[in-house]
Amino acid sequence: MIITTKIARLLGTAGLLLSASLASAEVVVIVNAASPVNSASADDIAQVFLGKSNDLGGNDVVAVDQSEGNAARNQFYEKVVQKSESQLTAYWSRLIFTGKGAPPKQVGGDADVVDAVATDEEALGYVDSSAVAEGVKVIYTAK
Amino acid sequence: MVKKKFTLALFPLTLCFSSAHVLAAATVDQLEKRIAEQEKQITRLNNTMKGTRAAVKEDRQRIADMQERLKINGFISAGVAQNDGDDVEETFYGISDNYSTAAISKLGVQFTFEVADNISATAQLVSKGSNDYEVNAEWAYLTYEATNDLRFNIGRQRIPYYLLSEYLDVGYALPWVIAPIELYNIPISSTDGASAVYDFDLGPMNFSWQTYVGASSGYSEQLDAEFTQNESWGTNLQMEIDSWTFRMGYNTSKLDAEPDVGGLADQLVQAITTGKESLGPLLGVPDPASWVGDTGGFVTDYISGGFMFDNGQLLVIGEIANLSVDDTFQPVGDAGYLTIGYHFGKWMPHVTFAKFQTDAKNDKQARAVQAYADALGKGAYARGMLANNFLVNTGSPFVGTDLVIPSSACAQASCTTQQLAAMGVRDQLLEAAAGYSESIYNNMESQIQEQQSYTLGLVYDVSSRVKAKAQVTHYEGFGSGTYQALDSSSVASPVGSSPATQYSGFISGQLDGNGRFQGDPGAAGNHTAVYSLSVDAVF
Repeated sequence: MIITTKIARLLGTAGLLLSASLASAEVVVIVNAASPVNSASADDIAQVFLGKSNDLGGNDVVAVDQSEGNAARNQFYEKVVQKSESQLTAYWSRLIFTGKGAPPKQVGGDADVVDAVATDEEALGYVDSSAVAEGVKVIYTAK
Repeated sequence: MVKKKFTLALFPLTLCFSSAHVLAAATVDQLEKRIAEQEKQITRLNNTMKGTRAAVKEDRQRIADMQERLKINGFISAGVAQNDGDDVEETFYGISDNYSTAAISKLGVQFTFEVADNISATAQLVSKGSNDYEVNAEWAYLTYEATNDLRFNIGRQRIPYYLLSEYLDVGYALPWVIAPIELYNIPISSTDGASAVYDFDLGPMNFSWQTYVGASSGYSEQLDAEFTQNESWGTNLQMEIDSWTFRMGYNTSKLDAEPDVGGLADQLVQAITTGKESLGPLLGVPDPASWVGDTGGFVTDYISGGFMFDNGQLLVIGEIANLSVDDTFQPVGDAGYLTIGYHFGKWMPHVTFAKFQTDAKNDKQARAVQAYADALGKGAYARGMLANNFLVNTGSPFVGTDLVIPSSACAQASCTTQQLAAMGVRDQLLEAAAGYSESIYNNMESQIQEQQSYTLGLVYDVSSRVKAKAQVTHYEGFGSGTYQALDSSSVASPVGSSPATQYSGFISGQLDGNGRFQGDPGAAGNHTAVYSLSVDAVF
C-alpha cells in the first residue's frame, strides 16, 4: 500500500514536472461522442461538478470525477470550477454532513474517465487533452 | 494399512465386473432408459452447478454493489481550550481555567446506504468530549428523492436554526475553533420529524428551500433544565450566486421545561409560583399580565439572516438572529457576528466581532418581574413591620423602638396571645419577603445577558483534508444593573434565635451579568478570554 502510494506520488510529481515543462498540456472537458452537447461554458460545467445542476443546455448529464491526486483534477478545479482543494473539501463537507448532496463519483485517472464517458451517453468528464480518444468529444478546453 | 486401502480400491472394480453379465442380460430398452435417466441426472447436476456459479457471481456483484452503495464519511476535531483563569466557566462547551481537550474535541462518522435508486438511509454518529464522548445519533434519516430537485427526509435531523447550525460539529468546514458562542449556543441540536428540501434556479441564482416539522429535547446547563420542543417547525431559504451565499431562516416551537430541583430555572419557577399563589393575593399585589410561572407551552421564535462570501481568497461571514420566548421571561434577544478572513497561501488569518444582548421585549418582561418582586417584597416588609409596630406599641420588656424581636425570645417571657400572633404573622411575612427577594434577585442576575467578543484566529491548511486552527477570543461587556433586595443580614434575626438586630430594610443590590459564563466575570474585571487550538479533518 505504502509502496503504491509512493509510486503514485512519484508519478504524480513526474506528471507535474512534465506538465510544467510542456506548457501545451491542458485539461479538456469531454462528453460521449453521441451526446447532443457540443459546447458548454465553464460556469455551466462547474455547476454540474458542484452538484448544483444536472444538465448542460437542457441535456441531462452526470459528472464523472477523477480521483484525488491526479494532475488533471487539480487543474480542472482550479481553472474551470475555480476552487482550491481545501475549498472544495469544505464545500462538500457542508453538503455531505447535512444530507444535501454528494460529490460526483470518482473513477480514477484520465484513461478511466475516457472509458466511462465513451460508454455512457450522459457522462461528463475531464481529462488531459493528450488522453482524448475515440468515442468521446471535447466540449470545453481550459485555458 | 496400505494393504487394506488397496483392497477397498479394488472393490468397486469387482462390482463392475460382477454386474457385467447382469447388464448384458438386460434389454436394450432398459439400458437406454437408464442412460437417459443418468443423462437427466447429469443435466440436473450441471444446472445446480450453474446455479451455484451464478449465485456466487451474483454474491460477488452484490458485495461490489454494497461497497458502491455504502458511503462512509467522517470528521474529527482534536483540540484544546482554556480560559484565562478568571474563575469563570464558559457554559456551552464547559471551558474553564483548566485546559481541557474534551471541551471542543469530537468525532463523527456518517454512513449513507443507497437502499434503492431514489431511497437512501443515513446515520451520523457523533461523539463529543463535552458530552463525555458519549455516542449520539445527530442524524438518522431516510431520504426519498422524489425528483432531482426535491427530496424528503424522515427521521432525526439537525435543526437548521442558523447558517451553520447543521454542520456546527464539522470543524473543518468552519474557520473558527469555536463558533461564536453569542449566537451558536442552543442546547437542542436535533429534531425527530420530517423535512423537505427543494432546489431551484432563477437565472444564475441557485436556491435551496428547506422546511421541517419535528419534536426534540435537550438540556441547558445555563438554566439547569431539560427542555422539550414540540410542534416545532421551521423553514429557510438559501441562495447562492457566484461566491455569495445568503440565507434567511425561521424556526418556532412550543417549549416545555423540566427544571432540576434547586437549579436556576427551578428557583425562578418557585419564586413566581409563590408570588402568584400566596404572596400576591395576600398582599393585594396584582400579577403583571406579561408573564406567567408555567414551565410549559412557551412559544419560541428564532429568526435569522446570514451571508457568506468566499472567493477562495477573501472570506466574509455575517449573521444576525433574534430569539424570543413568549409568556415567560428567559434571557434571550439579539445576537450577531461578523468574520473576515484572508488567504495568504495556506494561511488564513481572520477576525471576528460578535455580540449578544437581551432585546427590548425581554427587558420589558424582566422589568415587569422586577417591579412585581419589588411590590411583593415591599408589601410583605410593610406588613411585617406593621405587626412589629403593634408589638412595640403594646409594650413588651424585650421591645425597643425600631427593634425586631424574635418570637422565640418572646416565648420565654410573658407575651400576650395577641403579641405572639402578631409575631407569627410578622416572621412569616418577613421570611417570605426575604426568600422571595433572594430567589428573584438571583434570577434577575441571570436575566442580564449581554456580551461582546473579539476573536483573532489563524487557519493553516495542512493538506486538502486537514486544517490546523488557533484562536484567541476576548469576551467583555457582560452588563450590570441594580435591584432592590431585602437586606438579608438583618433577615436572619427575626426568624432565628440570635439577639434582636435593627432592621435596615431594603438595600440596593448591584447585579453583574455573566454573559455566556458561569462564575463571576464581573469580579474579574468584567472580561475574560478563551484560548483554543484544534486540528480538524474530514475523511
